[in-house]
Amino acid sequence: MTPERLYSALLLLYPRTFRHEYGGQMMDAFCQLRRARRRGAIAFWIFMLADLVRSSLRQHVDAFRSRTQPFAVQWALTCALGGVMTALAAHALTWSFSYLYHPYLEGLTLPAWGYGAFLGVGLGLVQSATLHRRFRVGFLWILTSAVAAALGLQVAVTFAGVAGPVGYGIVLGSFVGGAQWLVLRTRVRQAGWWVFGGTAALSLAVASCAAAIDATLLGMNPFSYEPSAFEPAAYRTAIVFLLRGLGGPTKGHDLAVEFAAMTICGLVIAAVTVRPLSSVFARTRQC
Amino acid sequence: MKLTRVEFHLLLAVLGGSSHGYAIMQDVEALTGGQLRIGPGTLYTAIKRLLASGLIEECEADGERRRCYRLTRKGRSLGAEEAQGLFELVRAARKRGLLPSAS
Repeated sequence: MTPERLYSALLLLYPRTFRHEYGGQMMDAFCQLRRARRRGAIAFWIFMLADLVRSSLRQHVDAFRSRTQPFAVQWALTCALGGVMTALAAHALTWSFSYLYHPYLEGLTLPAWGYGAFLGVGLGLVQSATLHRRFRVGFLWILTSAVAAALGLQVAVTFAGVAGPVGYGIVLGSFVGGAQWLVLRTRVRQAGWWVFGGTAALSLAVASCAAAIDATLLGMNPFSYEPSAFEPAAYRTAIVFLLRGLGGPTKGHDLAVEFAAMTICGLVIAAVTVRPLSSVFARTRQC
Repeated sequence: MKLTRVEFHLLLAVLGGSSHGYAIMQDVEALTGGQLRIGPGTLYTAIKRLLASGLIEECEADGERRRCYRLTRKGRSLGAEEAQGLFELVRAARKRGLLPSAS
């Protein structure tokens, strides 16, 4: 393969519109640079590849920001990122707790509503990033999500334990979806679908997360994995896994499974909520 | 609009008469004494942004595929503003003894 052909193939890394607009000129510039190069071939290609990776990433970020992708893709990426960010934040909290550890703190546990508030802030933060431009929902959205998730999880832990992960999901989802609806209804008519979407999404996410992590961890390491480590018994559900960083997993595969599960969880939320959200947006445009 | 380092050098190169991709890359390298080397990807990313902001514009092509660029009035004004800001910074550095005096 000639260097020109190789560079031409590498140009596929850029978004199509950018490639169409500047691909020819970039190819010309590459040929002239290659003819005039004063350094060895390896140094030249390292320079070209670094330039290519850096600028193509920049172009993809710009293309994403310019919102040329379908709303569904943006929403799916936002929710997946939200899941991962929540896990990262949980790890940061775990690390801070162990760093600031003092014997007086022995036996201190975070109440269920604390976990819920944490989850609600993560969820509200990423959702508001996408919704803010259309509905002007910022701090109020985050606060509402946090309060609703805190209440929802406390109620779920107290009353819905017998129904398993789906029961937790339904209770938590109803609280969060309902509270977010209260905010949304002031900005758009007939926003009730949001409650249904939110409830279904959280129920499905919790159930799928529980199934995925249980099956994978047991498959990978059947002897060391001990679900009963999470006490009391009511906590032994997927909700705990949503904030598993607080349990402090240290093994590489534990972390990998956790982040994968959080991504799946985010994608499930996106898959279920994208339809009602799109219909809400459509009605906003009609108003 | 805040110019990046590459964008500012690109404006300077276009102002100096370089009008197409390869010449601009060479000029930027010469202007910075070889400290800043830009590749085609970085160059056309900056060109795209400057075109969108109306700081440069395309001019008559001098070849089949080659396109050339020139500074707009807005580009010249913003470039001058940026240069003035850098000049003030250098003056402040001299005053504090970070740089030797010009005289």
